[in-house]
Amino acid sequence: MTFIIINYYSIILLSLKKNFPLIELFLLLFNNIMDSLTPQSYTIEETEEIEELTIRFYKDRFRVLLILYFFGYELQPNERKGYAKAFKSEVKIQALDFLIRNPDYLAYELLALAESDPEINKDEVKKIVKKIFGDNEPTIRRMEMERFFYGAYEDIDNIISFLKSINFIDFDSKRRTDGTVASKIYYVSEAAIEKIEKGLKNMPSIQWYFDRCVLIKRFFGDTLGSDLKISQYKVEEYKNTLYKTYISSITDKVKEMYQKFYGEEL
Amino acid sequence: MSFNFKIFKAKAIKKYNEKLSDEEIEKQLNVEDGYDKDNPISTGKRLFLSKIHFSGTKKHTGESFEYEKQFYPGVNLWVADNLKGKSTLFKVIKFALTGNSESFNKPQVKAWFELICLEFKIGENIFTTVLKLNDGALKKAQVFSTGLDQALSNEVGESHLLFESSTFIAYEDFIQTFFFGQFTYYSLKWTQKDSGKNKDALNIAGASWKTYYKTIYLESADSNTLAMAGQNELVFQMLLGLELTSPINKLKVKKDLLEFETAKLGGANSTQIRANVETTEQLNKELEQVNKQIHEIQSTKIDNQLEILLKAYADASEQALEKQKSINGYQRLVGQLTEDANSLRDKENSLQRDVKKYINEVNALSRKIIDLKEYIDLGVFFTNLDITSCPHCDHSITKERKVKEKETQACMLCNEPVHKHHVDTVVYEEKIKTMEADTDKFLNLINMVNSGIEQVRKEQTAKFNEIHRVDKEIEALKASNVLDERRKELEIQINSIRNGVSVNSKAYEDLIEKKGELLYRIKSLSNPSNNFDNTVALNKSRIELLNWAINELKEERRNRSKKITDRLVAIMLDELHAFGLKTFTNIEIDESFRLIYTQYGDAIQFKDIVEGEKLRVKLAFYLSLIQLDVEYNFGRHPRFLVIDSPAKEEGDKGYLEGLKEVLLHIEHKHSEHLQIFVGTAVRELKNATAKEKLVYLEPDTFLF
Repeated sequence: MTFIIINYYSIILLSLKKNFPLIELFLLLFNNIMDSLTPQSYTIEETEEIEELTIRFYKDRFRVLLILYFFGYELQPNERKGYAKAFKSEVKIQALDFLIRNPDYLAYELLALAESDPEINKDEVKKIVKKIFGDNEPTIRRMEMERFFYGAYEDIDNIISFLKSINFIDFDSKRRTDGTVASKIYYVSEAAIEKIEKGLKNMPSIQWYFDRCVLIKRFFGDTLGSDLKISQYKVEEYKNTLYKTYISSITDKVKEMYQKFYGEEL
Repeated sequence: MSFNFKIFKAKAIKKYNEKLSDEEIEKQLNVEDGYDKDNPISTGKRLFLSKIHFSGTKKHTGESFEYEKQFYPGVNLWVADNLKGKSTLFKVIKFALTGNSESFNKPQVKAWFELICLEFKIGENIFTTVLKLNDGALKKAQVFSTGLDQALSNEVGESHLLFESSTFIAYEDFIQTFFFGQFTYYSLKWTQKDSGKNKDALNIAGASWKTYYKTIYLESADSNTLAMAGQNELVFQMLLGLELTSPINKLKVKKDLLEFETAKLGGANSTQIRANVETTEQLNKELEQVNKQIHEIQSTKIDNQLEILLKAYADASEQALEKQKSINGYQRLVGQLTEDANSLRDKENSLQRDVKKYINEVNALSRKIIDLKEYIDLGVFFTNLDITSCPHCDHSITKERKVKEKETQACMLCNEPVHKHHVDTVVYEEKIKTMEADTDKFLNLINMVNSGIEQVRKEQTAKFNEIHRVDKEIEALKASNVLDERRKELEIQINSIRNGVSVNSKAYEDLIEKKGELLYRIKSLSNPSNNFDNTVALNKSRIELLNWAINELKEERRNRSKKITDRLVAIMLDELHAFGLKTFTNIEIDESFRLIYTQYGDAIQFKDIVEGEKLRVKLAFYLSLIQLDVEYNFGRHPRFLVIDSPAKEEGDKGYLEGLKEVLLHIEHKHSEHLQIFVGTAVRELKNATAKEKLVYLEPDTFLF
């Protein structure tokens, strides 16, 4: 038995996801004002669309939580009460999320790393890339991501708000003198860590994410968010993706690269 | 059915082999153009004059003239006093059609003309002859393959010019060749004594187009004969074109010449001759033997060799044909195989598309399964969490708020209505199971299709291998030119044998030598100085042979042509009766092609017919020839007649009525098939044709 709460945020998200025209957004805002006068009831039919949306909604929350959990650094005891880990910068969240969501780009980054870094075990990379493609991940694990100015970006404010409301995380914003946010530090609560380690870790359906995060951490854990993004930016397909459109797949490019590097077909 | 010369020759040899050698007999019987030159089937062509135009100056008066006239089919009639230009018109036509400058009886009249143009048709083709004269001399003669008006216009005329010359001889020669070609005439020959100083010579004369034109232009002066003195029969034969006419004519000329020569040799010493003749005959017999032996050696040797080679060549050709057939067969096979391979490739592509489609399905299902599994687990995880604080203001959420949300269904944070959705995980697990089953189904399908593809590929490979194999076969066949070389070689050998270069043996050489010796002895014996009688005797045998041959051929011709001559005679008798000459009861054509009439029970010839009836008989004769052509497709008269002054000699009233009837009869009955020009001074004849075809001149007026 599961209760699903579909709230106002999901509607906004829906409108954004579906690329609703501006008039729709305006109507939504208008409705928002009207809400204070007349209480409304949203009867949302359980369609596949909603179902998908809800699934996506959960996935996003979960991934962001997992990124903060895996890639956060340990806090000193009593550095912040009730919180065990901290994570710096939203850009890095975006970059890591991109690698999780696009296994072909991850393979590309791995191959690029193997090519450029002599310390990387090339055979291991070969095995990993082979497995990614063998499991057909670039197709079945891919979740498209929009390009936003300088890189892959999706608004994660809602996710962060939700995670904060259930006391999984907290965050501090360092502001510049003009009031704009310079950097954010996210804190992962002890309660969240306990829930992840005792609950989530045992769920078979999401084991893949854990493994993936371990893998990314091993190879790119020390890389700063902006560095990763620069690396991704070198890929023509990524670079050529227009603002606000989905970043296209680079499986063929990776296959070519693999062939060139290992002398065999992927 | 063509004439069988071999049988004819064999018959002659059988009859004359004691007197003449086989070679001599063959030599005598051989004629130029052979025995199959003649064919009585009509060419279907006719000569039709459509327009005349001429101009000039009458020298004695200085008066210039110009005459133009359109002609009609059927009877065209000119009625005018004598010496008013009727005959001159007909002579102008004759001049234009034969090129014979003697056409004008009076040379001074010829000198009148400066331009003569005549437009005529033969069959469907139109021609124009243009003659430019100056004081009786020819300036230019031209023949065009177009109408008169076009011929005279420079632009059109040029491109239709068939002939151009400035001498009468050249023009006469051209126009003869032209009409001979059009009506398939040729020159039948006869012999005549030289009229000049050399009375001992016999000349060969030939019928010219001018001679045959006599059967068109019936001048009143010729009323004693059907066409032209002496050559009636020849002309008649030409007009009928009966089979064997040409060889009969040639053999006759040969015989005439021989008889003349023999007669000249008349009184030579007969004892000497007899001895020589015996020796010559002996030698001739020997020569004949030798020739026979040579021929045998040649033919057996050659025949054997040739037979082998020809068979080999035929075999090689057969093999080459078989080879080509195999190549063609293989090429067809390649075509079929390629088609098969292509259709297999299409099939493979279509299967590949299916696989791709199924893989997409599987992928979509996999994603969906992953999603649903995560949905179940994460849903449980996230919905069972407590909201503890407001993310906006960080205030803790009190228990009261949580209780209130449950009661009011309004969000504890923002007060918005909350829709609680009940999700049954069992349902989702079922869904996943179904999807997994579907995935398996698709995977099975993919496996099946893939093995199908494998099969199709195997078939394709088999086809390609087959194509490759057949291509190699074709290449091998094409590359092998053994057969071609063999054929070339054989061809060379066959040709060399046919050209008679490869017979050599001792016996053969001896025979050739002996032949040479015999020929020399025969030649020296037949030397005219001591051989007059010998030649005379030989000539007599030759003449005998030729006479026999001519009679045989005439008999043969008679048999072959009986139907045609019977028809002609029947038609002519009808015509005579229609012309009022009912006293004629029968007509026969004898073997020399003379017409024998039966009148009052007596057999008579044309010359014996009374004056008042001759013209009608003559007309009946020509009309019958034309009718034979029109109705039965036999003969080759041009179907054009010019009759000048038909009433001159037959001037009695009854005759005139008869002639008028005849002309009207022709106009009504045959108008479409022939053209007749009649010029007369007898005014009673003016109603003898249709009004528009009559030119009627009042007394003392000139035609031009």
